[in-house]
Amino acid sequence: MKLFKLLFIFALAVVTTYLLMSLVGTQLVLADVGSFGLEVSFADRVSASLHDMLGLLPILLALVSVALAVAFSLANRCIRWFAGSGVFWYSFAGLCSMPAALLLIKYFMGITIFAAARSSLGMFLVSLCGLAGGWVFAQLMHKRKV
Amino acid sequence: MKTLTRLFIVLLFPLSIANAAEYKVETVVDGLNYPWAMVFLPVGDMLITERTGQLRRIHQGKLLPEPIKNLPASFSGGQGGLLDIILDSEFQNNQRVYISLVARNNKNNTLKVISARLHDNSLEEVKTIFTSTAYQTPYHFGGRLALLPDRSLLITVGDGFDYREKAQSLNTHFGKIIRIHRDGTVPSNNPFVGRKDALPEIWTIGHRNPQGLLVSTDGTVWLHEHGPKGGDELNKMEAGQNYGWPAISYGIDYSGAYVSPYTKAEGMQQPVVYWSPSIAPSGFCEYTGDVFPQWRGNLFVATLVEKSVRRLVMEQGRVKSQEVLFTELEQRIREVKAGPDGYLYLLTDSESGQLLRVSPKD
Repeated sequence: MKLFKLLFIFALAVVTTYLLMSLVGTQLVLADVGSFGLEVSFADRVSASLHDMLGLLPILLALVSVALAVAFSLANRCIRWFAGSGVFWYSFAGLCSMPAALLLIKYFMGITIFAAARSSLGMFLVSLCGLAGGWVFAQLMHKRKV
Repeated sequence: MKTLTRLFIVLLFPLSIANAAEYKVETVVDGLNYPWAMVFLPVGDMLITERTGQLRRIHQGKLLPEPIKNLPASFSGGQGGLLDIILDSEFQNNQRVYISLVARNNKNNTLKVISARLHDNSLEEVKTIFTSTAYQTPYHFGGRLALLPDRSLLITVGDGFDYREKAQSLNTHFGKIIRIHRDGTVPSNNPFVGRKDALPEIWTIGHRNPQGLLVSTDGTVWLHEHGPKGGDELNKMEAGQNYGWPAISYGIDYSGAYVSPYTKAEGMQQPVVYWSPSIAPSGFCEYTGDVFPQWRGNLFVATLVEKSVRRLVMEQGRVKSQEVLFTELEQRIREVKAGPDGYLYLLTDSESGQLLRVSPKD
């Protein structure tokens, strides 16, 4: 039961980060498209966002799951070793998780697989998406330690 | 129902395999290390570039053991390395060749084009005539070369994968076709000469990773380029035009997200044809020989992912029909060239690549 609860809360954190990253990614890409002189309508923005949420599922969901699993495991250790707030450690772990994963992939593959993270602004926003996932995980999992 | 199906097949059949020919494929040479491009010398020899940095000579059907000497070092990580080679249109008089390669300096990769004189088994008077904007990625260099009828040189430059938006800016080489004179100077009639915001050597913009460039016998410039996931394109080129990447595309990002939700935009050229799913077009040639008369005037596109050569039957600047050839080889085909002997030659893309000759079946 405890494991089921852990997995459910982890899944919610993953979905939070995934949805936010997908949204951020689409808006940044559309901003670039707009900068080339194309007018992006609200309807196109909505349909592109939905398209990307589905399209990114196989790769980005796997990436977010692995990155947050590693990050939250480390956060759990940090809470034991250094004490402190669960919200702080899980949020901090979430914040670092996505840049760490994307930079690691770039180190080995030479490219950035999530297009929005190629710019400093994109990487910052992606980090915040990870932070949001960490915060959700901490709120639901470690309420007593808050 | 059967009659309808037969009628459908009969109607479609001529479109899909117009002027199909029976052929055989023979191995001329094997053991080539990721061969990338080939040229035919007037004396009957061939030069083949290996992406790992060697320029090889084939003499009387045999691969000479020693590579051509004095070739500058290239960086062969990712998609980089020694890339294309073409002969000067006055090669008989000046023995000059043009070679594209990727060079590395402090983690900065650049596409370079050198001009050199081929003397026996060595390059002399080696001079760099073009250096691209530096990449920090090892992908999407483009690297194809072609001479226009006025003897100026076209060079394809890729978008570097991580710099795709720069394919729309006029102040970098990413995602552009470059036009220079053979000595490296910029022609005064290039389309963006005189604009303060533009590099004067730019000829066209909006490309991703163009690895096929051809000036056909009627003077038309054709280019094919790799799309992302889908959206490989064949384009008819005109100076000063914008070919759209990444503002418009028929493909999507490898991640599954849009590169752009749009496929058309005002002021941006449409491809003559696009391929989705991707076939990964690489080499390119026009067949002008006599050995396969039914293929004369057709364009041939080598493909890596489809492991084929596409024969494009052209009519008034449009692709009338396509035939997928050589899939039985089950090999990634990097390059296709029509030889002066009328046979078709292929290079397979592998660590132990082959030079193959296609001739009519006995």
